[in-house]
This record gives sequence, C-alpha cells and structure tokens, in this order.
Amino acid sequence: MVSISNFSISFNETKILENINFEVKEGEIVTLLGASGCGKTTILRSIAGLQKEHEGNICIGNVCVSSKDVFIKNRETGYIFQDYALFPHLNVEENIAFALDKLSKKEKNKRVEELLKQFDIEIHRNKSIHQLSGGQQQRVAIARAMANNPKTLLLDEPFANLDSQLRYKTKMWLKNLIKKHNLNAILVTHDKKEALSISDKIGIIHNKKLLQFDTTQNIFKNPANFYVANFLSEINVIPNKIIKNLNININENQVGVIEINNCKISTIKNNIEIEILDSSFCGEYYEILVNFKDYDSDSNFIIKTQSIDFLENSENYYLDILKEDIKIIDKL
Amino acid sequence: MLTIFVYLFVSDTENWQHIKNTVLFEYIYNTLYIMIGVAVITTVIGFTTAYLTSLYTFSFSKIFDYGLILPFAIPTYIIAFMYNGMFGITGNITTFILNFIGKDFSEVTFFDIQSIEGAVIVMSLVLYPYVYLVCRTYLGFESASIIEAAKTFNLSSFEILKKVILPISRPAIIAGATLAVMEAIADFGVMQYFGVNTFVTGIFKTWEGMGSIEDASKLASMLMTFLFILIILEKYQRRNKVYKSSGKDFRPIVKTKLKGYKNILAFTACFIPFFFGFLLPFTQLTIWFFQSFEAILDEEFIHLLLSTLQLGIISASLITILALLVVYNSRISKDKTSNLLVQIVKLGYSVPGAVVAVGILSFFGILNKYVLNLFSTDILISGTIIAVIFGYIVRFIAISINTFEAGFNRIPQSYDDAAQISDIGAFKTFIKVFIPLIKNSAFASFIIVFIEVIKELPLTMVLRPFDYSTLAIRALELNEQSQTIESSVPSMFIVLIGIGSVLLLTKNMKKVQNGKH
Repeated sequence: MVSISNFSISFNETKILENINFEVKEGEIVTLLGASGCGKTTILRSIAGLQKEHEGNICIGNVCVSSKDVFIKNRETGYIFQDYALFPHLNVEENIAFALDKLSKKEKNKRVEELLKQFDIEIHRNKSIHQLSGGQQQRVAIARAMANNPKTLLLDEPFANLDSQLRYKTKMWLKNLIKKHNLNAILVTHDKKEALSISDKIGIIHNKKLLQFDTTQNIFKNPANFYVANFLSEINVIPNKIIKNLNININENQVGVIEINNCKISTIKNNIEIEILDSSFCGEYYEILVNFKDYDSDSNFIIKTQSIDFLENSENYYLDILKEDIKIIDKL
Repeated sequence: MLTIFVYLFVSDTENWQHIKNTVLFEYIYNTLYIMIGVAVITTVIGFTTAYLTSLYTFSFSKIFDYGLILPFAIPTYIIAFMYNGMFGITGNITTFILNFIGKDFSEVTFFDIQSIEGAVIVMSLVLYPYVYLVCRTYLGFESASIIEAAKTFNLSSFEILKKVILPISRPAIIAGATLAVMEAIADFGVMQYFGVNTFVTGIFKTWEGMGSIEDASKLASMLMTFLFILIILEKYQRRNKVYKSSGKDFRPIVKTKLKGYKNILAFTACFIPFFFGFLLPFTQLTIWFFQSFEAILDEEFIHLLLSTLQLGIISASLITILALLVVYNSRISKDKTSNLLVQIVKLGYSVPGAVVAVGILSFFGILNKYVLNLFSTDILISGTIIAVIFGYIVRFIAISINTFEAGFNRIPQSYDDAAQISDIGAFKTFIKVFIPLIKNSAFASFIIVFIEVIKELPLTMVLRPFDYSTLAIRALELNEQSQTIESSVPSMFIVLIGIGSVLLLTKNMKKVQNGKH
C-alpha cells in the first residue's frame, strides 16, 4: 500500500501542491489526472525519492519517509519515465541489467533472461535503443522498471509516445501485467479517456489541490465541482434561470450542467427557444453551436446530432432536455 | 581578475602620468578604430556569405559550406605575416607588380599593409567566420519556417532579404560581430607586428618596457571595463530578440538553385573571402614552407614542436577534466552558488590573453609579498610552466565549459533519475552513464582548447619560463627579425594543426547531429 498524507511542496518559495492526501491499495491502479504543469509528476517523483524537500509523509508498505530521509532503496518502486529514459549507449540487455547492479553476474544474467522472455523482447536483446519502435522501447523501459520486483509501479504519461492503435493494446497489456503481479500502480496523465479506461481510482489535481479522489465510476457520476465535471466529461452549462423555471433548487455557488449527449434539438415548441449559430461535421456526428433566445448564457452550448437535415424544415428550434439529466454541482 | 580591478582605484604613478599624457589617447583611438573596422567588414562578408550559402545553391556552394570556415584555422598573426610578405613594401607580389609596370616604389601611391587599416583588413579576413557561422546556423535552420512563410507572400528575393531576413538576423549578426570584435581587441600578434599601438600591446609594453605591473594592470582594468560593457550591451540587445521558429526540432531550409549571372555573382561573393582569407595565404605559406623547411627543420625545431604539442596536450587535458567536473557538479548539485561561479569562470574567455597574464603576475606577486612571506617561504610560480598552464586554464576553461554544457543539455534529466532509481551511486552513474554520453563533448573540448593553446601568443610570452618557446612565439620572433619565409615553417605547423582540428570537429559535430553520442 502507498499512502500520501499532508503532502505539500514548493519550488522557489512558490507552492506547487498543498495538502495532498490519498491511498493506493495493493493491486489498485490509481491515476492522477490534471492539466499539464499542475504538479502530478512531482508527486510521482516524490514517491520515488527523486524529489526532495517536500512536507508531509509518504508511506510505502511499512516504510514511511519524510523529506529529510530521502533514500531510494527500500522504497521498492519501479518508475517508467515519459521519455522512457533508456540509455542510448547501451543495448536492450544492458539497459535492463543496469537496474540490477547489486546482483552477482550470474544472478543478473538469470534475471535479465527472465525479463527478456517475460516482456517478449528476446529477439531485440542486442539492438540499440534507436533501432526499436516506440512500443518496443516502452517494453524495455517497463522490463527495466520491473527488474527488481517492485511492489509499486510509477508511470509518468506512459502512453504519450505511442500512436492511438498501439496505445489501446499497450494499455490493456499493462493493466493485465499490474493485476497479474498484484502491484500498486500510480499513473500520471492529462488524458481523461486513458485515465477512465485503465484506473480503479482517479485523483483530479487542479490549482495546487487534489480536488477529488474516488473510484472511477463515482468520480464520473458524482463530480465534486464544475472543474471535475468539465474535465471528465463533455458537458453544457444551463443558465440558472432555466434551472429555476424547471423548479430545481440552485444557489449562487452552484451551477446546473448536462452531458452533451443528453441534449437534443427539437422543432416542437417548448419554453427553451434556441437559435442555431453554427454547425460542423465531425465524422460520426455533427456538432451544433446554439444560443438561448430568452436567456443569457456566457458559455458555448453544444449539441451533437446524427443529421442536420431537419434544420432546413423549420425556423424555430427548441432545446429538448430531461429534468433528471441535469446535475447541480458546486462551482468550485 | 579581481587583482587587476583593484588597480583601477590605485592612485596614479609617475609612469601612469606619462602614459596618460602620451599614448593613452592613441590606445583608445586605435582600439576603437579596429573595433569598428572589424565589425563592419566581418558583418558584410560574414552575413553575405551566410545568406548565400544558407538560402541558395550555386557553383561550388557545397565546397564553400566548409571552405568559408577554413580561415578560422589561420591565426590572425600568421595571416598578417603572409600579407606583409606578399603586399608589404618588400613583399614578393609588390615587387612583382612594380617590376611588371616598370616603376619604382617612390613613383606609385602605395597602400602600406603595416598600418592600422591593414590590420583591420587582414584580421577581418580571418575573423569573418564568426559572423558567418552564427548567421549560417540561424538562417539555415532556426529561422527556416519564418523565411519560408515570407516566400509565400510573393515578394522578390531582395524584398525578402530587406523586409524579413535582415531584420530577423540582426541579433545573430551582432552576436557574431561581437565575437569577432572581441577577438580583434584582444589581438596581440598582428598589432605588435604591424606596430599598431592598442591597449593590448600597451599592456605588454608597459610590463616589458617600463617593468611596471601596476600600470599594466591599470591599462588592463580599463580594457576589461570596456569589454564587460560590450558583453553586457550584446547580451542586452539579444534579450527577447532571438526570433526562432516555434518548433523544437529545427528543419533545414529548402535551398533555391541560382542560374546565370546570379550564379556567377553568388560564386564571386563567396570566392573572394575564401580566396583572400584562406587560399592565397595558405598557398603562399605552402610555397615558403617548401622553400625553407630544410634549413629550419633541425633538431632544435623538432624539440620546439614536441614541447609545444606537449604543452597543448597537457593543458587541453587538464582544462577538459576540470571543466567536466565543474559542469557535472553544477548539474547534479543544482546549487545556485555553484551555477553563478560557473558563469563567472566563463567570463575568462572574454579576457584578452595579455590581461590574463598581467592578472596572474599581479596575483602571484601579491601572494608572494603578503601571504607566503608570513611563512618565510617564497615560491616562484611566475615564470614557470605552472603559471603558463594556470593562465591557459583561466583563459580557455570557458570554451571547455560551454562545450560540456551543450553536451549535458542534450542529456535528458530523466537519465539522471533513471540512474538514481537504480541506486548505483553517483560515481558509477558518472562512469557508466555520463562518460559514454559526454565523450564527444570531451573530444571537442580537448581539440578546441588544444588549438587555442597552440595559437596563443601574449599570455605565453609574458608567463613563460626563461628560454622557453612555442611555435607561435618562434613564428613571431622570426618575423620580427624579417625572416618571413623562414617563419612559414612554425606557422605551417600551427595552420595544419588548425585545419586538422576544424576537420575533426566538423566530423564530430555531424556524429552528434546524427544522434550518436
């Protein structure tokens, strides 16, 4: 188990992260999700012992470390870097063996053989890193990270350098690997789709804080605030006046949202008249940008439709939504 | 350097009053004249050739790519020897022309090459590659997309040059010209040989002629103040003004092929500096070398050659190892003070050799007088080979540091982290990860420092032990004794080492560009 408590960190007297708390149980995949530069990688580096001078505690298994006793060994972590950090002057075999410096030559050779076999890279053993594809490089990086049988795997944007087809395959392979070895895994990404598909739990980081930490399903269904909802799903903001007309309670610190997929355009008259501002073809669907005729709204309201033929048959359009699809969430 | 600056505030001596009343104005005037002259000529030649070879292909343009850098291999003083031997009053070409037109020396208007104008011209001929190289890198790679965007607006080549290329190249031009000017201001050999009084020759004369280290230091401190202002101004003009394509990976520009008269014009514009900066002096050097090498290449000369090479190898190795440790320490410690120290040490290269020499003499003088006397001991470091090597370290470690910084910057931080995670310790990480990855930078550093040491004149002259000489000093001495033809032998060795180094470095650079560490 990995547990992070009261974790804060500053660079040059500027607070980067404040009071972060979360836990990763055995066999669990946790994803830290947030925009680029929000500090997610800093948490990963601190867990690995690469980042000094943080406040709070990091416990890995039974070992708890504060920033003062930073040491790498005994942490039993494996780190997969965004750029894989494979040494270009060493071949595949030597890169993996690099992590096994403490073992005797015989033990080292045996372990390298096991890893080459396990990660299906035996035929590449003597190749230089630049002779490998992105996917093969990633396997070597994971093999190196797994060399010392870590209990926790730390993954920094592990799929960022892969094309979309390979990304899906690798994601599933990695998920199975983590589950098979019953590892704790902490993954860092800015890609919500990636986070939702691989994780057991997700933590959303924004503005120095961990806004919400929960299971994937819970965080998606019950976002803590507008930022989380907007980050995880495609939503429209409904003007407060419409919410009130629908007899839904809402206060000034809250906002009413609805998933884009739950919004439809109708030509049958109702109370929410809209005008069509623009439509664009997006392959499997059309995206239509609309504006409310009788209500003020600051944000774009987008509706997806399969066809736009109906737009030619009418002059008046109405927003067709169900009251129960509307979620009321905190602004901040 | 601090010991030198102290003298700015020391009260004037009698000698200083004399310098102030007689030669100080001349030093200032001549130094400024050389500065402006070299800036203008190197900018015109350097930018024109860089523009042409970056954007166009024309007859022999591929040869010019490298050929235009070759003048770098010839030290300024050697080109001065060659030009004086050819175009001086008794020069072979001057004599040939006078014989050909059947006139006597007194009957024609003669441009005396041994003048300040001559110094500006010969120095510009070998210093323009500074502007050429900086502009070449900028125009050929870093600004490729900006220039290509300008081409889409249907402008003529001249309009693109005037409206886009010249304005965006300004910081690169100034950066290159500043390097050329700094080199010209620091020059000792040409000025001494042509009899032009500048700050640098003044420092040397004050030390050697008047025996006054205080006044030499005072002159040195004035020159340094001026040079630091120049560096600050150059850095200031570059602030926020380096226009680069937004992409991280630079893509070379697609060149246009020139035909007809444009082809001939471009060829001529590149051939002239290549011819006068390299081909002509090198041919003359070769001819004189073959005329005189049998007489010069005796056992004593071989000894001189070997001791110069030995000095170069020892100094370059020492400086490379020191710089590697300094840069590696700065990378792993990430300590602000050590970074600041590295930046200060890097200023050493902007300090002329003569100033470094005077600084070291002052420093050891003070050390002997005030510190070591306390322990009733006296070490004579000045005038030993240790002082010479110490001087080289001060002057050239900056080049080595810059080379290593560039090399280390290419190594992602994640490699440090990956090594740290593997828990193999700092020493093993250095040996197993960094040494293999940095070996090309070490090689480049060694070669650059080696050639600088071989070429160096004033610092070695001031600090050398009695009766100790180098190829460069011997070349100058022979010329001062009007033995120009004989001087071609030591000069030839210096130039050949220079050309060899340029070729090795180009090969090394290509290896690095191809991603081989």
